[in-house]
Formats: sequence, structure tokens, C-alpha cells
Amino acid sequence: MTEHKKISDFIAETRERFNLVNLLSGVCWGVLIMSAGMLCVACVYVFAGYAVNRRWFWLPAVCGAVFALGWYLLRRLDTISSAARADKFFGLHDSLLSAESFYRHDRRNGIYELQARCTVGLIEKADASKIRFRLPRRLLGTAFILAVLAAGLCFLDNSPAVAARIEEQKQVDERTAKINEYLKKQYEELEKKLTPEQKEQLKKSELKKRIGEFQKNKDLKEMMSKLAGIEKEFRKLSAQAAAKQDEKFLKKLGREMANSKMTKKLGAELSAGEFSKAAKTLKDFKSSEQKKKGKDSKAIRDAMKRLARQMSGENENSDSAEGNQSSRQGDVEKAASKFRESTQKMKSGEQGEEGENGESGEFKEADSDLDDMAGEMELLDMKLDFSDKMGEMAEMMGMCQNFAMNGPGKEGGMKGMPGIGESKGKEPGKGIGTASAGNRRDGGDKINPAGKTTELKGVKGSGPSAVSVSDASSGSGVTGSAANAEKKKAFKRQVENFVRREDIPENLKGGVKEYFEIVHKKEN
Amino acid sequence: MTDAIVMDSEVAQSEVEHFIEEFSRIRKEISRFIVGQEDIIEKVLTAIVCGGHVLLEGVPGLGKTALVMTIAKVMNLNFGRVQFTPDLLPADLLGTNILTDRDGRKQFEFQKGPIFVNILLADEINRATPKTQSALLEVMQEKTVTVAQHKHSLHLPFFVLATQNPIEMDGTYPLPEAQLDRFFFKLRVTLPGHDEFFEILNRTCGSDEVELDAVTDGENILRMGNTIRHVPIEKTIQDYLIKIVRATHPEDHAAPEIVKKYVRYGASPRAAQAMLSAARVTAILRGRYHVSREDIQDVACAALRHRIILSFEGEAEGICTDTIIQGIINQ
Repeated sequence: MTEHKKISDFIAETRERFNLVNLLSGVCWGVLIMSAGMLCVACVYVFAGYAVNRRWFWLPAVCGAVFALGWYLLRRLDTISSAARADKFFGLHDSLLSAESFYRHDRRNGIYELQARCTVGLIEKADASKIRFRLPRRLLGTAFILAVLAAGLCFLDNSPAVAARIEEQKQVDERTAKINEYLKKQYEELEKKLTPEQKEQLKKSELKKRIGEFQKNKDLKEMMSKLAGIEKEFRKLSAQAAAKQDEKFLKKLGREMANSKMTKKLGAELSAGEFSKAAKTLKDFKSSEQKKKGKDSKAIRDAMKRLARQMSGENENSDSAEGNQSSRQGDVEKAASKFRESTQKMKSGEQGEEGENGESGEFKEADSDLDDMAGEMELLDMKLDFSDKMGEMAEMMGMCQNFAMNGPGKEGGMKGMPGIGESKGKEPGKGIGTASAGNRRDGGDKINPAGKTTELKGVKGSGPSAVSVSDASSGSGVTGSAANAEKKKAFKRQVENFVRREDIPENLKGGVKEYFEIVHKKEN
Repeated sequence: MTDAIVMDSEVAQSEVEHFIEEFSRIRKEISRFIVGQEDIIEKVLTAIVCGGHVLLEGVPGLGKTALVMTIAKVMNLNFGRVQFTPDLLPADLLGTNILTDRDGRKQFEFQKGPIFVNILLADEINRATPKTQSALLEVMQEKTVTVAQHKHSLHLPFFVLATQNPIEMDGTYPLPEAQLDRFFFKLRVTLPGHDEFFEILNRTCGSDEVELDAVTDGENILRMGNTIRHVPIEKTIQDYLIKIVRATHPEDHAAPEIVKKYVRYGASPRAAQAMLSAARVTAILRGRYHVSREDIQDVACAALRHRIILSFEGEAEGICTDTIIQGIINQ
């Protein structure tokens, strides 16, 4: 065997052993990294208040394995570096390195041969088996301690706050799923009941999109926000439908009035959709009639005046109907009611004045027209079917919000929602918009089919508040019943939801919120 | 890697054996008179074999001059001693042209100075003026003397063994960098230990005087110098040597912080040549046929310490160049 053969064999043997040591060393470091990583993962969970999720332990395990592999690959020795390391290990003073390098550069004679011989003499004394892997006890001990700590942290449970948050999220998810299912079902039912025109209107709205977005909510706030958005869409649709129906009604009214000699001009303007002009004509008509009729026709004039105001308001608000939909709807109902009153009064006035006034025949004609108008206005209640449906859906959204806030079984919950409120609600479901209309805001300004109601009407927003707050001594107030307290609570949440809505002007939100805070403080 | 001169393995072996034998014989003979100082003796002999000059630094009375005179005797070489004084002139050292009358004809004849020897002892070299010190520049590097446009070659081997006193600085002239760089090694002669003191007294204060034998000659010295040129050095080890020398320069990116802070100028390529030659001698003396990192580390201090010029901060803080060199090696 030549000198170089012996040298290369020795280097190969040492290389194999060094690489094995490298691998085992890398594995040990990998274990340490894995343990440290596991502890980090556990600490992250524990410091956040959660119970440790052991599924994430795969990450440090993979990191440790990658590190061990990377360590081995990066530190893997080639022949020259192995020779240099063996020189250092056995104290050969670069003999192996020099011999291998000289041989590779084809320097093999003369003093190079002597060098090779000298190196062989040195390696014969060296024992490659001395290259052993020494177990890094400190390193492995540290890894073990870290792993034990990580395992110990795995036994810790969620903190109370986190448990409550998880429970809340769970409820939010459950309620989201139920509300989502309910919304879809209601939407499908609604679609079936609508006329093609209404369907078209429904399609144009963002309602479906918003309902579609109501799939997953990260928290209650988001869920409430989405519900408010859907409610807003319903109200918008309702307002649009009401505006359209109002316009139709007034035009039809105009056509009817055009048949009468006395109200021909007014009827023509109404049927042409020129509501401002119609209002003006009606005012003129009022002043001329005042001269003629005096005190007895005051009631008719008042009715006419209101109608004028109503029509004037219609014209102004036809483009921006959504904001005050409920008041407008109420105004139309009131107009119908007042017309009925006017008709009645006119009839009674006619009886008293017969023979005194030569124009009694014309009044009879007007009486007939006004009767028709009143009849038409009553019909409006039916025509506003779509608007009502939207309003009911909006109220149903209020129920959903209550359900989202309080969950099933509470008074403000979705008792009217089949499958949700039935099991735990106090009353069985009654259908859309009927069961808990009273639980939400004051049921809206619905048209009273009975007609003659005597109620005090003021201009909205200008009169004194009907609500008076009586201060009680702190802590002395006693609730009438648990149900009453729940009602107040529900009302409070409704106000919160109301404030959260986007269609409330910013300058009003502050006032409402302040009011709510005052009430809240008093409650506490 | 540096190519070694290729010769037959048998010849190479005999040359190496001759080197080791001669070196050992000289060292042994010197040790008969000089007590201790083994490292100094080995380094001086190394420098002589490599054809370099040595600057011996130490306080008076440590045997510097005695060592040089012993070496001259053992090597059987022409020896000259010049006591460097402030009034010493270059002509006093190198020689000068004088007017002579030969067969009735007057002519200028070059009168050789004391430098025309094999071993020159420049005692207390830092007491001469820079002008006289500079007269040694050519002779130390080229081994020639140029006077009146005539170049005179010195007999080989030639080497200067200079001494200087590090503590008595009054009336001295520090050697210029160019002069320092021409010294192969700068060796610090230290105080002997107790046992060595004892032996020194026994050998020098008794009635018996040690008779030294000339165990070698100039020819053998030159042959030994030729032998070391055959010792190969592997590429990575040569890289290591170069890195060490380059690291003495503060502007080098691999220089350690201590160099950047305290060194004004680092070692020259001549230092790398000196280190390589000396490392080869060390390798042969250690029974190897190649240069290793340890050989380089062994000679680094002696070869570099006088070639590193300290900065103001280094001088002010009393930093020793050996500390800087150790810092580079340990990097």
C-alpha cells in the first residue's frame, strides 16, 4: 500500500466519523431548539390567557429538524477540511492537509515523498476510532428542562376572561348561524310574495349582498353592525316603496279630482305630478273659499291646508324619501284621516247651511270628491303593502339584533322567529313583524284603518318632549318587576343600536348617546 | 503554494539530515558557553541560516555581545565588532578611498572598513547617528558597499548582529523604519533564571575557561540555507501566513480591534518572507518536511515585533507589539 493510499484511507475514515459527530451534534441542537420552541409556543398561549394548543408544537419540531439537517449539511466535511480537522484533532501539525494537498497538485517526489512518509508515520500512531460523539449533557439537560416546562404549561386551562370571551364568540357564531339561516329563509319567502316590479326593486337594492355577507362574524360588534346595515337596507327599500306609492296615489287622486269642476285645476296638476303647483292651487282655493264660507267651512279649509302641506312635502321629499319614511307614511295616513273628518264635517255643515248658500250643489260635488279621496287614501294602506313588508322586515332585523344581543329566551329575543324563539321564548312565534313589534320602537306610524282617531298632533321635532325624567335618590329606585327591567335593558340596547346606525346624523348621535349615558348612570 | 526546489527524495533526506545535524552541533557548542537562552540561540541561528540579520535588545550584562562572539567562534567566520557611537561616520564603517603611493604612482585605493567580515557585531547600534545607521541599509540588503561609484561585494555569508539597550535612551537615535525592516528578527534577551545565574557564575568566574571549537564554516551555513528552500508549504497555510501579516495593518478589514486602535503602520512583505524562511527552519528542526501553522506562530513575534509601528495611542498606553501580534494570532 502506498503512502498516499494510507493517508487517503485515514482521511476517509476520519471524515466519516466527523460527519457522524456533526449529525448527532446537529440533532442535539435541534432537540434544544425544538424544546425552546415548544416552551415559546406554550408561553405565548399562557401569557395570552389561553390553554396551550398542542397542535402548534409541530412548528418547533419542524424547526428543530430543519436546523439539525441544515447544521449537518452546512458543516459536512469534504476531504481537505476533514484532513485539516483530523490534523487538529490528532495534533499532526497540518501533516494530513499538506500531504493531501501536495498529492492533489501532483507533487509526489523528492521532499514531498518524504513528507508523505513522515505523515504515514504520524497517522500510524493515530487511532481514528478516538473520534467519538460525546453526548452534550448540558445541552440535552437544558432541552429536557425546557420540554418539561412546556409540558407543564400544557396543563394550564384558559383564564376566566378568555373562557368568557370564547363562550361569547361561540354564542356569536351560533347566533350568526341562526340569524343567517333565518334571514335567508325570510328573504326567499319575501321574494315569493312580491310583484315583479317589487322584485325588480328588491334586486336593485344591496339587500341580498348584505345578507350574503352575514356569514361569519368575529365579534358581537361586527354582527350588530351588519344587522344594522341590513336593517338600513330594509328601511331604505320601505321608504323608496312608500315614496313611489305616495306618488301613484296622489296622481290617481288628481285624476279623480280632475273630474270635478271645482277641483279640476288641482286634479290636473296632481295627475301631472306637479305637486308644488298643486299645493299653491290648493292654497289659493282655500283663500277664495274662506271668503265664501266663513267660519263653518273652517274645518274643510284646515283639511285642505293640511293636504296642501302634505303635497308640498311630497314634492320636496320625493328624492330623499328614505330618511323620514315613517313620518311621511304617517302623514299620508293622517291626510286620509283628516279628509275623512273633513268630509264628515262638510256633510254636517251642509245640513245646517242648506238654503242659505246657493253654492251647496258644488259642495256636494266636492263632498263626493273628498269621499273618493278618503277612500283612495284608505286604499293606500293596501298599496303600501311592499313598504309595510320592508318595514316589517326592518322590525324583524330589530328582533334579530335583540336576539344577537341577548340570545334566545329573553323578552327582546326573536320570539317571532320560527325555530329560534319558539323553544325558549315566552310566547310562540307569530310570524314576521307581529310578535315583537311592541318590543322595539313604537311600532311606526301605521295607517289606522278605523279612520277617526282623535289624537293630539304636533309638528315633529318642534314641540316639547313627551318624556319627562324624574330624578330619584341614588340606589333607592326599585324596579316594578324583572320583566320591566328586562324591557328597559332591551330599550337601552335598541337605543345603542339606533345610535350605531349609519343613517343617524353625527350631530344627533352625540345627544342621543349623552342621553343614554345619563339614563344608564341613573340606572346604576 | 510556494514551489519547493525539486530534488530526489534521497538527496533531500540527506540534506535535511545534514541541516539538522549541523544546527544541533552549532547549538550544542554555543550552549557550552552561553547558559540558557535556548530560544534566543535557536532564533539567532535560524536568522543566520536564512541569511538574515538580528537585532538583540536587552539591558546591559545579559550576554548579548558574548553570544555574538561565541557564534562567530563556533562558526569559524570572520568576525568584526564596531562600537556604535554618536561620532561614528559611515566611512568609519564602510571604508573609504585613500591616496596611496605604489611604485611611484599615486592612486586612490579603497580601504575596507570593519564591515567587510562575515559576522558584524554592531554594538549599541542606536547610539550612532541616523546618517551612520543609514550606511548599513545597502550592506544589509544587497550585501554590497558602494563607495565612489564602485560597488564592493561582501563575502558570504554575511550577517549583522546588532544590539541595543532599551532603557538607556539618552543620546540615542531610534532606528529608522527602513533599517528596522532589514533585520530578520528582533530578539529580546531576558534575565536568566536562578539556576542559569548559578551556572553563569560557575562558568565565568572560575579558573577554567571554556574553549570553544569551530564546528562549522561559512560553506555549511550557505548549504543549510539552500536546504530550507526545499521545504514546501501548503496553500492554505501560506494563506494563513499572509493573513497574519496583512492583519498587522490597521486599514486591513481583517485587522483586529487592537491593531486598528494602536498600530500606525504594519509589517511589510519582507516580514512575510522572513516568517516563511524561519517557519521552514522551524519545521525541519521539528522533524517535519512541511510548514505548519504552529511553525508560523512560533516565529511571528520575532519577525513582526520590530516591523509594527505603534500609533500615538499605542505608545502613550505602553502597548507592546508582542501583545498585538498575539491578538492577531488568536483572532
